[in-house]
Amino acid sequence: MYEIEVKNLEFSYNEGKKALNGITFSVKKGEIIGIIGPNGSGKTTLVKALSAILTYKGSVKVKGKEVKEYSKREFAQLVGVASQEFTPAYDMKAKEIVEMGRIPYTGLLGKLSSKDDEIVKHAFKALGIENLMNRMFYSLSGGERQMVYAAKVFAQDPEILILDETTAHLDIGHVEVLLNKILRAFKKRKKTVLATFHDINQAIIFSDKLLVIKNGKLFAKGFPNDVINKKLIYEVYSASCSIVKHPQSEKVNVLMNLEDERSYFQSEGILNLSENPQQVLK
Amino acid sequence: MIALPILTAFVLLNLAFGSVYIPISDIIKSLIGMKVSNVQNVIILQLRLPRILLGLGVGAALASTGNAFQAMMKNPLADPYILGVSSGAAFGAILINVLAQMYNPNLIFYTWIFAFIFGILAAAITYLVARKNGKLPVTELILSGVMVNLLFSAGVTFLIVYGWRNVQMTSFWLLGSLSGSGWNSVILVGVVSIGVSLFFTLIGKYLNAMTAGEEEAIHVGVRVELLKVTVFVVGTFATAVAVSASGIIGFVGLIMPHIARRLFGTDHRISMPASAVLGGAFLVACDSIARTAFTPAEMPIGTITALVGSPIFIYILRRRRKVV
Repeated sequence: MYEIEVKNLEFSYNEGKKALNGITFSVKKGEIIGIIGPNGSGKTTLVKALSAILTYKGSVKVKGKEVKEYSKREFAQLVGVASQEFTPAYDMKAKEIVEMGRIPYTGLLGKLSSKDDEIVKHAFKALGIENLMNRMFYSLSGGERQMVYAAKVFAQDPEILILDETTAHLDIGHVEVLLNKILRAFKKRKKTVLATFHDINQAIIFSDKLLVIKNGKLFAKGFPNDVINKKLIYEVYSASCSIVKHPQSEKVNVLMNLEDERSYFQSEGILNLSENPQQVLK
Repeated sequence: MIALPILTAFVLLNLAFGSVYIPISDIIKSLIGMKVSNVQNVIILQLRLPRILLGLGVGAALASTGNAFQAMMKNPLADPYILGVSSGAAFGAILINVLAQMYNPNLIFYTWIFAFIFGILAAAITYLVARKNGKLPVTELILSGVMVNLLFSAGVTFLIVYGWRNVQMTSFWLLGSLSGSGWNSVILVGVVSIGVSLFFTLIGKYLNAMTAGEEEAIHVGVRVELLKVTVFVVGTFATAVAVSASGIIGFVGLIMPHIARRLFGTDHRISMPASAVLGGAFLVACDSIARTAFTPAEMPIGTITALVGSPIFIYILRRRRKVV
């Protein structure tokens, strides 16, 4: 049985253009999946469908059961989601925010058991941010806030973790720490992670496999080294690049080119532009 | 628990002061049924006590509803009147008074029922306008609330100008007053305010989750749409009861939740009962100023809540800013 199974997933905002159009893929338990694609390609919409926020057409199954059919509480114990930013209406202690991760497990009054307390403390420890526990959330730096937010999802202790560009606003140091801790905590325990990325190289380094989305459709899927090449980057992002191998991981790495893409593709012989120069500009 | 003795002392003090001073020993005697003079008995049991209890109830209902609405809408400017209950109720009350003048003076006894019905009606219009695809988007809700408020306020102005010029009654509804307190309304408001504060305290963990936004709340397992409808219906009911008993008393529902959160933290399981107690106490304190400072005239309580409340609020806001 697949951990996540998506079949013919469709969704459109306000009856307009389809934001998701016939997406099909499946994810095995313990896989780390990176989702990439240009702005507006449907990454976030896909994440929302997977986290049972949208009413979609088609089928999205988690552990063999349609996500719509789970009770919200049951689903929250199974799937944890973190997005780009966490902006609570009121300022509160970092600890109170991480404690929110235990809401799916507590009784009506939301009283934390000693086990819950232990898990909350452990979440701070796992991310190496014990020093932030009693700080006020809005007094923290952007990077620290994102770590606290991640600790909340850690405390939720889900089987499947979904990240929606959670590292988008972070510097390289925070990205490294956060992605490393997530890999350590989830991969070693054979838990599944799906993460969308703005930065293609972050996606490549982090993920076992990639899903490439363009215009709401699944454009490509597979191992990073098989999927990523100049042609794909150009077709999906309309950007020219050079591809190198990461000296340490042997994974591909995408370097942005700033030369005129037309002359580049002409010299590479990928597109014959002499006949129709407008083709690329479109 | 700590609040209880302080609140009792506070109530006793408020019973003592007014146009006539009554010694505390006499108040206690009267309350436990021992003999005191008849005049004092009437002042305490028929005038001051119901008025104080009504103030506690109305303040508690408004402040806890305001606190819940602020969390649900993720908007610190939300108050219990944001859905139009207040202007709806004022319109209903003034309408029935106009009708009473024109057709049957007895209709005036149904004033509070009309206020209640029109308050609920206004909020219902707000819900229906805002509702979209079985969901209740908060931005639409706030906007349609603004619209409904404006609509009924216009209706109120219309009624005052063309039909009815009773300034005192108008100020009762538009600025609020606890002077209309009989034991019946005290009991009703008391039950409702205790109920609503308890209810919002019980669902505190869900309100906590909502402060992070609707999607974040869903991610931790909250049934957001159900919660929204429940909170708005319960809050609207409580507000309508409060307004029909005492008119539109502003400020309590807006600022007391802020003060409660600043003092006791943002956890609704604590800030909710704190809002209720502070809201009640604040209203009673404002009322004692309203009825004593300008004797024999009585200032509308809404004026006092704003006059007293704004500086307190500004002070807390400023003090806070320095810390951060």
